[in-house]
Amino acid sequence: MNDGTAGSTPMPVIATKSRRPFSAWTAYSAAVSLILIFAVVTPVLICLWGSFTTLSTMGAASTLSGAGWETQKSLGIYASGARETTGPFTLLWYAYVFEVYGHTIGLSFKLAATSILVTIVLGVFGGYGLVRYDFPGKALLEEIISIPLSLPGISIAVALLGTYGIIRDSWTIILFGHLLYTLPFMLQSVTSTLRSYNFFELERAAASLGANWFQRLRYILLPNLRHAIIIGSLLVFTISLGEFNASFLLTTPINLTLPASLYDTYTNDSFQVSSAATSVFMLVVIPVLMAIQFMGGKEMKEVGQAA
Amino acid sequence: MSYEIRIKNLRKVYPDGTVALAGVDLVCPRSKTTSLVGPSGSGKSTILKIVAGLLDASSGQVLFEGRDVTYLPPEKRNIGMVFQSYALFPNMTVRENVEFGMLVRRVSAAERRRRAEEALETAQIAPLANRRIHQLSGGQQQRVALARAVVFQPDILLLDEPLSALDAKIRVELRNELARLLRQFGITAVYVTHDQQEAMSLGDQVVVLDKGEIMQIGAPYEIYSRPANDFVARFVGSANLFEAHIDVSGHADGVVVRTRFGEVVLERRVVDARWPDLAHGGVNLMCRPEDVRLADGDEVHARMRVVERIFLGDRIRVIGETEPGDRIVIEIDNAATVADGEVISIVFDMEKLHFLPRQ
Repeated sequence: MNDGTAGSTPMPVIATKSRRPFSAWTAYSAAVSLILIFAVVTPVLICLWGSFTTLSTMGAASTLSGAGWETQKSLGIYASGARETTGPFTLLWYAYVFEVYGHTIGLSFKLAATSILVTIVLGVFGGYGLVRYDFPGKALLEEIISIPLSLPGISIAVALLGTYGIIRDSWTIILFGHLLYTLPFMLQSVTSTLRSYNFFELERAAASLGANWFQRLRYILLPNLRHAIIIGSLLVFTISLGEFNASFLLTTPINLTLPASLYDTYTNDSFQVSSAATSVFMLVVIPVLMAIQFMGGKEMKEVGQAA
Repeated sequence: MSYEIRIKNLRKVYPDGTVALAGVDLVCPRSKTTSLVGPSGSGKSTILKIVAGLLDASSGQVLFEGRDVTYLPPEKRNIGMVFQSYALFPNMTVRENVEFGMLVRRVSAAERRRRAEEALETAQIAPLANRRIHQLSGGQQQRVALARAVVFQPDILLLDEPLSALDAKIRVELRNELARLLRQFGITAVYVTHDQQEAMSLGDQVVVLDKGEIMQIGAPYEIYSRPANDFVARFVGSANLFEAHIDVSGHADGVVVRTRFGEVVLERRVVDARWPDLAHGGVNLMCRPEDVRLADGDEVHARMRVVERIFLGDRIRVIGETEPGDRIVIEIDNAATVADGEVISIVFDMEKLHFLPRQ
């Protein structure tokens, strides 16, 4: 002990891993964690169950009523009919969802992929310009780019419809909505990397060695931004795929995004069908996220911090 | 191919009014190393960056072998540059870093490989070829930076305080190697440093700068033993400066130099040979500590009272006061016995005395 007296025992040189006995605090925090996890996971589990079940449960829509009913009847799909043919569980709800809303998966992916590509181009070049050069109004510009994040999606949608009404029928108007929400994240990812280490010194070194702007872009800028671009892409993908607020107003029955189609099922179809649609959404998103995470490796830890 | 650099009336003024360079004229001879030395803010790095093309001058010209490159971007100047922070590319291995200059000049892969291998051998880092730069020590990184900057045979090599970020021992080691390599390559080099020892050991020509102006240009020995003014005298080493008065007609055989602590007579022919411009009137007398020794005979030039003694290993530095009270620093043999408070007699090495204009 360090009590200053002669003959005091020296502090151990190497810290040993202390083994704490099982305490009341550990039990308490474990219990709270489990309850919270359960509270969050339960709806997902119910959703998964609902997507397979043939029981007529959860409200009037599961019986013969509602706008989707006509389609269901024409396809010969309804709860009691299914119960007769396949028993307590069925894949009919999934079949219906894929039949009617399958194309929305394609559109949502197209939007997410395009968002990633556009934000990479805008983010890399725009981010470079913002960090490298000083010009009047620079701070203001950075603020303006982030403003859409604090505005309600519906008002953004109305603004877009007013400005670009002429392309109302095209999927590109939805893309604009997505870009407004995703660009700030990619931009922030790129600029924080450029600011955090002496990247511009590397660029000067490359120039002194004879590299022109394109060679500097290819060999120095992009490779060193790989990390930031992957994080940014993860964020852009997640946001774009799940974006509902603005997309809802910008979509049309022909150009329907996956989240907007979920809303359709919630209002028009039975609980079983909506559960199936929701499950499809989760099944679509999670593997892609995991694939990108696998690709990005250690980048993933920082997504949690950035998001 | 090694080029001569000519700088004409280079000025750099920043928007807030700071004058970094106040009209500098300089010639860096072909195949020789020019050291730019001075305290922080003297403008030495500014000159280097303008020569490299990384900074624009406010006015003036930079010429490489007669060709005006003032407005040419750095990638078109065919220079090699070594930075204080090394600036090695973290996304590439050591070999790829060294090959970079050739890669952007579209040299074939096989040729690149061969020449990079040679450069790595010369810089004594061949075994590190496949390492990533974060796996290298400071000294190793600096060798990579140097190999990278010379492998594609640039016309000019620019070094911006390359050794400042290293610890003392490695610095000295690398300094000696650098000197050897610069001579071996025979390339025109401009070396910026704030360390006068580095400047004088590496430079064939030394340029001393202060506050954006050149104080003196010359060979290392000249700068050291015949500084042009007080600033240079003090910057490149310790200097004792005393007010003195020159009396050219006071003595038949020579020139009388009168100081507060005594008088010496210098032979007229010596004065004519070494200081032809020495005129009657007030000057500063400069004497370096190592050019003073303890009087051992009849001749005594001055007396001093010992205030402090510092043992330096090969010498003893004695700090003291002359009788009139001027501070004086001398360095004497390490076996001498001298006590604090003692009044000792000293003799100046007349060959090494120097006169500076009084400012």
